[in-house]
Amino acid sequence: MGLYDYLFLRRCLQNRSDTPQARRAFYLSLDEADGKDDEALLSAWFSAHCDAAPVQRLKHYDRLFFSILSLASFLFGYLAGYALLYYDGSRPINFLWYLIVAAFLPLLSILFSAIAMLFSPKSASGFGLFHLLQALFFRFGAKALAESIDHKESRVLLRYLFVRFQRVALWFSVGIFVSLLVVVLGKDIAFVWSTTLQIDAYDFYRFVHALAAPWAWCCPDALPSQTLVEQSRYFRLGGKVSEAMLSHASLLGAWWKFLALSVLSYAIVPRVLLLLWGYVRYRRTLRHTIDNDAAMALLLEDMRHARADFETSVEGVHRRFPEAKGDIVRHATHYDLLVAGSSVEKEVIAALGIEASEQIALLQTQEMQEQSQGKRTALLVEGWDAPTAEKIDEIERIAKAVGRIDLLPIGLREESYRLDERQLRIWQRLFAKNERVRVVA
Amino acid sequence: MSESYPRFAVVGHPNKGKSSIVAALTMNETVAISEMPGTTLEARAYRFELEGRVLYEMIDTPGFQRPKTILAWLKSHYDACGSKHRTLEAFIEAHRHDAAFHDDVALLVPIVERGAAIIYVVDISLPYRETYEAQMEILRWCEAPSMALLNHIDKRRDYSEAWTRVLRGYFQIIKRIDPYALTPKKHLALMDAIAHLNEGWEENVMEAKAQLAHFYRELIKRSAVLITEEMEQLGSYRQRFKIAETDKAAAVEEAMRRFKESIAEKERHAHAKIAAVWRHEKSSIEEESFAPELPALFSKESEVLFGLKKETIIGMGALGGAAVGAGIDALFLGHTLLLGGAIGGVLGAAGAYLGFERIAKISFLGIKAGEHLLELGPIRDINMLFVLLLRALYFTVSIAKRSHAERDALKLTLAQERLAEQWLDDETRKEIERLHRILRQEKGWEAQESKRYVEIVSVVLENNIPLS
Repeated sequence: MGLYDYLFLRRCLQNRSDTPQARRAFYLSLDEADGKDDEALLSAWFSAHCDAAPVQRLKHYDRLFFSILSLASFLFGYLAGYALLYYDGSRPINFLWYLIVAAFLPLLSILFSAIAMLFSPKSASGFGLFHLLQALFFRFGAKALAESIDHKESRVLLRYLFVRFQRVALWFSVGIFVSLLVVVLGKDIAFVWSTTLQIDAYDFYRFVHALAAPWAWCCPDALPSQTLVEQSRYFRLGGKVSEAMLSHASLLGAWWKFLALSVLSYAIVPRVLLLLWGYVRYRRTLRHTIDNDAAMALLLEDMRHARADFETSVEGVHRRFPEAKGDIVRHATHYDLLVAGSSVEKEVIAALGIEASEQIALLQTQEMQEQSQGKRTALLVEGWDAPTAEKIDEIERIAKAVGRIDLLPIGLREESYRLDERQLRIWQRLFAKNERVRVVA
Repeated sequence: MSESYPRFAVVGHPNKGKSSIVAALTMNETVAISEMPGTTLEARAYRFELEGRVLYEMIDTPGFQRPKTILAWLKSHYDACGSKHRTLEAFIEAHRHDAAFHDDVALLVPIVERGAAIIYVVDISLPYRETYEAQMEILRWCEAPSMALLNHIDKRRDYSEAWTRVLRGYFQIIKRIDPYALTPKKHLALMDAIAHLNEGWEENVMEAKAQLAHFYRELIKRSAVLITEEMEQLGSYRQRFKIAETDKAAAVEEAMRRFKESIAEKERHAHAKIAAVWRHEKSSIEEESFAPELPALFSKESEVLFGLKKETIIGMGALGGAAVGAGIDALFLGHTLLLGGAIGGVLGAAGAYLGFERIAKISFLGIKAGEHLLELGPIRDINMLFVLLLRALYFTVSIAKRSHAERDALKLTLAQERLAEQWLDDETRKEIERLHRILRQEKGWEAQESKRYVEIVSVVLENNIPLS
């Protein structure tokens, strides 16, 4: 799992609300899931659940950007090397310039980089290259991501950038190294050393001998002899090559091995070592950040451990009731016939303020039919309790027998036998389709 | 033959809160709860599963609709069937496709055919009536383990005594329940009662209880992770705004408005995620937005070039100059006494300082190299970070204790001083303050600090969402 996978996985986790069961089910669906390490599991989960297109796009921009930069760096190195080694046979080449540009300056930058890495800031905010990168491909690849990088992420990003830019720098040295080989292969170059400073040949010999120490044990051929140092000193006076130098011109090319190994030893190998060191640090930081990321730890835990949860496979099926139509009217003060259940007592009727010419308890339908023909009838029911179908059937049977009734659902004694609006509406909805029943308050 | 795990059919008269109880006990806010009696049309099973293995099943059923008729039928067919259970089976068989008995058959099938235990729900805020007797009698005919749950829907009235007297004659266990106040602790306690319903199930139900406790602990941990993420995001949140030189005051005001909006939106988003953890995705929550004022924030204005601050550009100039100077020093093999590096550094820095304004005015491909920026955030005031944390904690505890039967909006008003004292002891407060101070800094939290914050928040949540 790389940096970009981590950044996008983090955002994907922040935006999803998966259940632990779904995560566990995914884990169980994987081949050889138990054998997978954390990173492999996270990667697998990411591929299956998150949009990989932005990551791929960003990786593409990253590759493109750094490939172009590396190529440019290589070409720059090659051309710089070629320019430093430009030779038309009229004058020898002062290899000191090449040594400075191809070995010493890269070595200096390696030292700076190593110091920068050791004392690098804890986050990338305020770090120039980070902003530069944001401005370049982050803007094109993942604008939202570029704007939401937090401290922890920027720290990993900084390490990542370090590795990437070290690679770019390495290509510069490779370019300059290749240029030397190409020039040496295609031309017969006479290398000399020349300086305004009062340095005698022996001191210079000791200097180059010290420089050659890293490869002296394995490539003695690339170790310049004191004679070569003396013979290859070039003086500016006259602007011409001395006769003595011309006499041993064939020897002057021997410096190329020294130069090649200098570039290898002081620019390329240290850069590779720094690159590896940086890479190890980057991976370690990334690993550490992933390990300590609570959301990712939770994801891994969810995948690896079974958890109980509530499941239901059946959709709920519900009865629909018609909406109540119109306002609920108040009951009349006088009815010809008042029908009530046995539990409805006189006290109730008195409290409601109803007068009735006749009052009967629930009767047989036949009897009620006979008694109620053409009479204004009210039916009192215990409205505080939800009616069952049995009760509704009973009311509808009475309504049918009587012809038309006012249904008066009554409340509890504590509530003065009155129902509130909400309860009355329930009764009204229950009989909304029955024209014979009018719910009254 | 049904699979052998404990099943509980929640039955009763219509509109006594069966669905509310099932919604609360299964943490399912999608269970339809209606004031209309008889809304539930089919039995619906909710399984508490571990890796496909059912630990127990809770079945929401329609209410009794024709208990008197059924009881009469059972009595009249008893002799022909030979046993009560067989008579019930015969009733179901005879009425399976009878629309009039649809609800009653749906209620009885889980008990008679699938061996579910009975959880009979009554509303003790309403008086007992003799009409209930038929229901209880039918349930007795089922000869299944049974318990009665006393649901106290309207707290103004209490008929529990009368109910208890009657229910004792029919049910082994009688328990009170308020589905609208079912906290994780009460939920777990109810499992103990359920376990005693049937000796053969005791072990299964106890395992289910342990898993349920584990389930709640996981929700707490998940919430702690989300709170930490929220704090980390909001506590270190910065936003940069381009400021026009003309009418600066209005631009600052507009920037502040947008900053507050972003903060409030991020907090809402974080809280919605916490609500989702506790299965309250659909709950309506009314919470006042968090809106820090300008004095509580770090704010600074700056000029930037290519997205880099002036200090960075000067530093880079100095470094570049020093590198060139060092090259010259190297050219002279150190005989310049490193003056090249020093002079190069000074010249580079001076050049960057003096050239900054001029380069800032250059535009390339329509993009101006330099910009005037106002950076708002992070929150400077430590107390504001505490407020933010307390809001998240209070929200989590409230949502964790909110019953899934509840359909009204959750209104949250935070009394922060009281909460800070009650929920956070001195030591915890100091540790949180230390972490908040780090959070405000440029470098933010290290991974270990985030981890520590999760631990602290987990403990505070565990203390306030007790499980036992």
